[in-house]
Amino acid sequence: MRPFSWVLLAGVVLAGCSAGSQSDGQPVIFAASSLVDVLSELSAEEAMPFSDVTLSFASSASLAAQIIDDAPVDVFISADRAQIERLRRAGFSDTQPKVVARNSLVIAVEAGNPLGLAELRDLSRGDVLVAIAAPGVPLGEYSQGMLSAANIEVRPVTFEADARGVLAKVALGEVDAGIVYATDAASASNVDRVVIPEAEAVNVEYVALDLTGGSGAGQDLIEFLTSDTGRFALTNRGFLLP
Amino acid sequence: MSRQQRHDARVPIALAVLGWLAVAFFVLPIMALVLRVPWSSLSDVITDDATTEALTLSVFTSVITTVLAIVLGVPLAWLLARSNIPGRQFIRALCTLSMVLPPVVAGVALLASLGRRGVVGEILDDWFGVRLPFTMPAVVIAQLFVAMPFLVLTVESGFARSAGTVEEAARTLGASPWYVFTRVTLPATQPAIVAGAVLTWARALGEFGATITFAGNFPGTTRTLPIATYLALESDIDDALLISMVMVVISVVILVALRGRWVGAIGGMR
Repeated sequence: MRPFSWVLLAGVVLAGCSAGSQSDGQPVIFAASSLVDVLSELSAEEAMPFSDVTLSFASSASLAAQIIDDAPVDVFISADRAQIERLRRAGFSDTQPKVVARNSLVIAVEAGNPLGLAELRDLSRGDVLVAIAAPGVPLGEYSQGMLSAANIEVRPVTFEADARGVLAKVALGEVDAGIVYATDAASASNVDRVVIPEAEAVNVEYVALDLTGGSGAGQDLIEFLTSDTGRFALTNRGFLLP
Repeated sequence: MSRQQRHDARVPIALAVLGWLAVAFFVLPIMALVLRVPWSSLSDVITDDATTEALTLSVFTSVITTVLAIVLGVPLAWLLARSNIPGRQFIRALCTLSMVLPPVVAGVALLASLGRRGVVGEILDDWFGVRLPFTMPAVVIAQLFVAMPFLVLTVESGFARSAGTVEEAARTLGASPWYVFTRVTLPATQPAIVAGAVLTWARALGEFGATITFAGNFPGTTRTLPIATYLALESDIDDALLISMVMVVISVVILVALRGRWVGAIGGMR
């Protein structure tokens, strides 16, 4: 190729890159993985205040890291207040964060509950294989907090990276039980839920932060989630309201 | 092989440009990583028990994987290169499929076969009380499943290249097939076996997806360094970067050391 062609090629490649990273005025929401079903549903029904919202889901910690690395985001919904505080300390938003939903913990067991697990204490039985989320991951911290508060010692066979990891091990029958968010257990097939009173003391909050700097788009999205339509969709998927 | 006999001046310019572009492509991300790592807290992370435990487990399991890959992979490569078994192409495709599977899917496949409810795993559990998931052998199995094809393909092409007159001569002189294999074929293929073993070891050391799916994550038994790095990403990115640097340094040291030791051998593969 001649030098001119190289320059042309480089130009085309660079143009392609920059077109991809612009949000073109479409609002972008970064949200904790457990919100994937409810937000995708609202977006598909075009019930959101904007016709095409771009949604991105991952663990709250990695989303916060992406935002600190200048990902273009209008609203961040975290399952972990610490990540919100991290962004506010770094000066990403001076608006007040708002709690939009709450979640709870349940025991996920194999369909039909073959071992007849009925309460949290059953997880410490010797014949029960248990998966819980790893320490350091929000779900892992909530699970361990609940077990310590109830003074129950569980020896899991594996510490999974997230709720879906725990659920997969339960659904495939490799473990007998796992502690997950109530909403994740509700959306999984091949898995039954055991509701536990100890979970009432656990307060899993989803906190939304407006990152648009008061231009309105972010605020509109957050208000929508706390509107009747938003609240209905959230409760429909098993979330609790703030 | 003499190192002085490379004629840099005769490399076409287009090749050199693209070659150096490739160098930059590899070096840039590693350099950026090195610059971003908070080196001041390196000693904390390296002396941390959790890190050394994961590191020890990673080195131990990846070495066992490499040994098993040689024991099983060399005979498989021989079958593929030299025998006349029907459907050889198909068998080769099946035996290297795990290279292109997403590792998490490879993990699910291992659970479906060797897990507690797996086709074979259920029998192992019922008859012998053996449960593989969440154990150290499961880590090795996951690594072997994903990494052995690298050795098989390298050694197979080594066998194909060395096929020839020396073996034929040994046979006409009355050597048994086993004698020919161990005294003629294997020595001629040794460089390919070493190269394949290094590739397999490197892939096994970095294995993450199949391991966490099939073996889970438990400190000391199944938490390898890549899993420790991934989990650290969730809570402390600085820690994750430091742990990943430990892995980069170890890999570079071992790869360079092997390259130095075996440079003649690997160079002689041509």
